[in-house]
Amino acid sequence: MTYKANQRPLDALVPVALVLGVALVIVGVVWTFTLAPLVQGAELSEPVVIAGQQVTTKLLLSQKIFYLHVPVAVSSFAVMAFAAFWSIRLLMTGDRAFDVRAKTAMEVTLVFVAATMISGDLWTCFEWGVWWVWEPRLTTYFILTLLVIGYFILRNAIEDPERRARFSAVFCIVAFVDAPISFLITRLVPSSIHPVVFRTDSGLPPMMLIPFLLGLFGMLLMAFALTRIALAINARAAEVEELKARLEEQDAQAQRAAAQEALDRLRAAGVRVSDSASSAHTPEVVGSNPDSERSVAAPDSPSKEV
Amino acid sequence: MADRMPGNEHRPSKFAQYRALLAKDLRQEIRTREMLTSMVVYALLVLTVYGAALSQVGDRVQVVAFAGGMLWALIVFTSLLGLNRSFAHETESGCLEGILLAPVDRSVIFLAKATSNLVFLTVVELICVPLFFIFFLSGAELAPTTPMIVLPLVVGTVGVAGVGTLLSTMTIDTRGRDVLLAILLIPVIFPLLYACVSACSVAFVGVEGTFGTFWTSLAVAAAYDVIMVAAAWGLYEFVVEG
Amino acid sequence: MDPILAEVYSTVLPAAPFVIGAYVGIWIALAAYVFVLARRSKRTERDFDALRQALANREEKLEH
Repeated sequence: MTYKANQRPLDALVPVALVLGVALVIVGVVWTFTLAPLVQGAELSEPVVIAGQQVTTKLLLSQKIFYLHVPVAVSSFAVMAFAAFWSIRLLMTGDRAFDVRAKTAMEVTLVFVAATMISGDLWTCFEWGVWWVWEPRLTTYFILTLLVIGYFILRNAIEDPERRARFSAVFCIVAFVDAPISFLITRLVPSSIHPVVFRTDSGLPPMMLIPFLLGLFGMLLMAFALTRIALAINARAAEVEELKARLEEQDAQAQRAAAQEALDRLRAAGVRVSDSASSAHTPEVVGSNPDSERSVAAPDSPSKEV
Repeated sequence: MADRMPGNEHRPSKFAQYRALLAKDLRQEIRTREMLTSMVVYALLVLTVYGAALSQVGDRVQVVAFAGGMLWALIVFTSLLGLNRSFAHETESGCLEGILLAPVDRSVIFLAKATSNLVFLTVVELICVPLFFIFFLSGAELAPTTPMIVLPLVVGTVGVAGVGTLLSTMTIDTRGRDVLLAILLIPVIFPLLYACVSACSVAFVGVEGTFGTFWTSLAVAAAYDVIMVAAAWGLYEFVVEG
Repeated sequence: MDPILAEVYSTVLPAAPFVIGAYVGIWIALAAYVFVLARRSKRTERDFDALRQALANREEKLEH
């Protein structure tokens, strides 16, 4: 039921994946800023020739955000798919190891969703000039953020570990089904107020496609590596928590046993007192009611011996 | 649960089980009218808050433009209250354990609960929507297509009842159950809300060329219903185990 | 600079802080998580050692 860090052959790949992922991302970023051409923006007042080509529009730097923003967004959704998969497995088998995995995957999803929101918001902020717009992309990711946060709040609110695992699995699946629906709906239902600007990044020229793909694969690899590392740490933490709980239970049992023993001894002593006292002493001496739990020997009774 | 005799040899058909559970819920509510009254009163209070919110709006702003949104906000808030209350008396009297002991299929429980929630929500809407019209749309020029809002209202309420039943079953026993239900329900219901508001707004404003949007939104909301209610139905058994 | 060229690149400088901010933001999010993981790992190891110690003490006591 517990997950050992070196059990699976996949984990040998983790350091490689991490290094490769970071390397790919760095290469992608460097390429983005050096070789990839700038994208077109608003119209110029008159065309000009730059480096032998006619340019009729302003050239945008802000589009460069796209090279990491979309990979991060895609990675977050990919990791969430794993969270949903492990949640389904948890419900199918009841093995709590899957709960650790689902929770870990959701943590990583949260990180990538945060990264997506930051980059997306900064991009939109520059383009529209305001801090927030209810446009499809941002709205969808905001809902996804709320869903992931809701997952953790739900986990926090349930005490019983078995119920917590089950309920979070159910909610994870619901959230995972809801996210693409949210994505589609915000795009299909036109908003009558804001003109929705679709960034049609279809058909990227190779100079732009390659850094994008580098960034995409790099981020996916990093997400994979991060999930595996986090999984090892979380599984260990779960083991430790379980051990702690068991030790506490042992302690509690030992205490209860000791208390019961003491009570039994008191009762036995009390019974002895009542036999001798019924002839001579006053009735308030202990033992007149041997069945009562509260029959503790009176402090001034000399025959009290515990 | 007098109709669940322990010595019953023949398990009643699924439909009979469903009918029995549904009848129990409805009977309970008709007898006490506790939940419906609180929901209607709550809706009136929300309308009052709207009144204060719109008091400075003046004549130049067309309330009709955002009436769709306001109506749906009202429905969402009232639903949150209703979904929690519909389970409250069951946990208090230990009814839920009683139902679980009987050999009832879990998905039947879901259907019965979701249907009763749907019925309650519909009744509340039947009261609140006219009130909304009276309070806020009395002087406004309503398009002749306004009655079409019935369609998105129905589709939306079905979705809210279905998903809400699953989520409220998860949150009844937790700390801070009302807030938790809101935190879980609102993001999940957001796509449906968005589509229904869009459809209602189009119906209210009634401009000629925009009805493509109405039907698209309605179709999309219906798709949401099918997918999410099916998911809720399938997942319900994992949420009701002892 | 030629005024037309200036217009072509006019959005670049204002955009720069946003672009830098976006990239830095992504890395900060990732780094924050790595930091949280590292701290959790340290705490877990500490707890594990303490537990092992407690168990060893208990076994000693039993042997007495």
